Amino acid sequence: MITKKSILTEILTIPKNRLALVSKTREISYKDIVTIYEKNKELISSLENKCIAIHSSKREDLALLLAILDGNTKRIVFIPEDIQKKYLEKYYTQAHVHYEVSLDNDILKLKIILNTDIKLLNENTEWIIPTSGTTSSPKLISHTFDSLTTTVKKNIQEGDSFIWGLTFDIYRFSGIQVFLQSILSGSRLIISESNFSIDETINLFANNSCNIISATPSFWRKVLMSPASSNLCISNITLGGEISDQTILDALIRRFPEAKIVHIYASTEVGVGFCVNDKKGGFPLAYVIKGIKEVQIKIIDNLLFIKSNKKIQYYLSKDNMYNDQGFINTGDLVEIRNDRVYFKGRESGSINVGGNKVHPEEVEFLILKSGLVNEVKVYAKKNSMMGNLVYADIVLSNQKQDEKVIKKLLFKYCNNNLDSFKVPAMIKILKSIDITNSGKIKRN
Amino acid sequence: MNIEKTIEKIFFEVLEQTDSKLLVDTLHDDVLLLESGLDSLGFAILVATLEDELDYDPFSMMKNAIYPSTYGEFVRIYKEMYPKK
Repeated sequence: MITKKSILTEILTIPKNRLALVSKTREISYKDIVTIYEKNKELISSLENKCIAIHSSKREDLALLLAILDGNTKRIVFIPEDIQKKYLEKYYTQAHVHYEVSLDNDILKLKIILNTDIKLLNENTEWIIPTSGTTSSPKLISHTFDSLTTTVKKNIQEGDSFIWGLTFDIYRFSGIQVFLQSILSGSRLIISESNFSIDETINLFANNSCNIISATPSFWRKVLMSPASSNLCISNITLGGEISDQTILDALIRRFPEAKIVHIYASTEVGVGFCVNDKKGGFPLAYVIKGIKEVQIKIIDNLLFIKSNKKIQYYLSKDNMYNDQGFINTGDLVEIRNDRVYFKGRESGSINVGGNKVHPEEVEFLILKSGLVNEVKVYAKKNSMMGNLVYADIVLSNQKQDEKVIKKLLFKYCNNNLDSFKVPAMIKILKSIDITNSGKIKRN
Repeated sequence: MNIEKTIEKIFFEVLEQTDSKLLVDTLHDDVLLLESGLDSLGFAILVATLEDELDYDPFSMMKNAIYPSTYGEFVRIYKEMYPKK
């Protein structure tokens, strides 16, 4: 008997024959999810007071596991596919994981990790999500169904017309958001796997008439470069996970003129902060002055601080997440220009060139604006004279162009538009720039 | 490979890359580095570019760093620190 508010109780209100999850090899209806739950009911009921970790390389399995286990365990710990062993052991101890669970042909499998008890008083399942650790070691954050669904729109009737494309990993905050938004509205989620190429992912989305995709700006840049993207009929575009600059927004407007385009500010710590839908980079200064919905924003020493009315999430390590006024320091640097707030990069991600700070994102956006390149990654390279120098890897927008000429043009363009210490010391031309499973540029 | 010629070639390339100009009539051994037209950032770029070309950075190989003041000293350091195979 399912009684508590959970994904499964929500699924029971959705027309049974609607498709819920579609992968390259399988179609799963909402009814199928309930059947899979029923099949494993006995084992699931034994997990009522347990903490479990889900660790699977298949996004499809993760989606199913979440759907059948939420509400039926004390804690679900999300383990990244590419986790380092030292973090895995730390996570299991910190989150007191009893079992690692997986699915084998829809049958639940348990692997014992710990067999000591822990008293947890939470009624709803805690969702323990690791931060992406882009610039520091990842931390575990406790969320609940409530904190994760604050901004999720539940409209089962409208939801029928949405076919989502999943580009993120489900164990990340961004992937969980897409999964919950899709499943709680009774929409269809097309699942690409992390080992798919961009073309494979786009073709899967196009073949399944996907009309709404949430992805990072880096992922969208790759979509725009892929000839397969001409088969996509997108009505809604969401960008998140990285800074959305005007160049990518304009390029998306040109390619998908009819689409609604929204960029979202969210993080594993904050949850969803706010959405910007005026197709411009940054966000209105009015959000800082008046607040936006339930969120208050402050800028202290050029850093963005966010406070939401609900303070449900916390670091599992018990480190303090909030300041005295209840604000979270996002670590994102911003600047105000003409009544608009623009993101400059991560405070911890800056490059120190002989004592001067350079934010890679600032240089990346300028280079993208030149129109000469499609992708760029700016990073620090150790240097015996300056400590570090700024290096840039680029992918040319026109592969047939003379590399030497383009480099010369780019150096000139950067010299004219940047302080000298921000100008890349070296520009390397590559065929593509690697992105992580979460669609972000790989930064070390 | 002629180290001296490579350094000279890259020196002029970095001048152009950094939008700088040679401030002396000709580049010779007695030219003071910081009066040559490249500033300290320009030198850092020169060293990085030379490492890319020659596969070694003499300044990171030194136990006690020596900073050359003339162009001649700079070239000599590259010659002296050339890795023996």
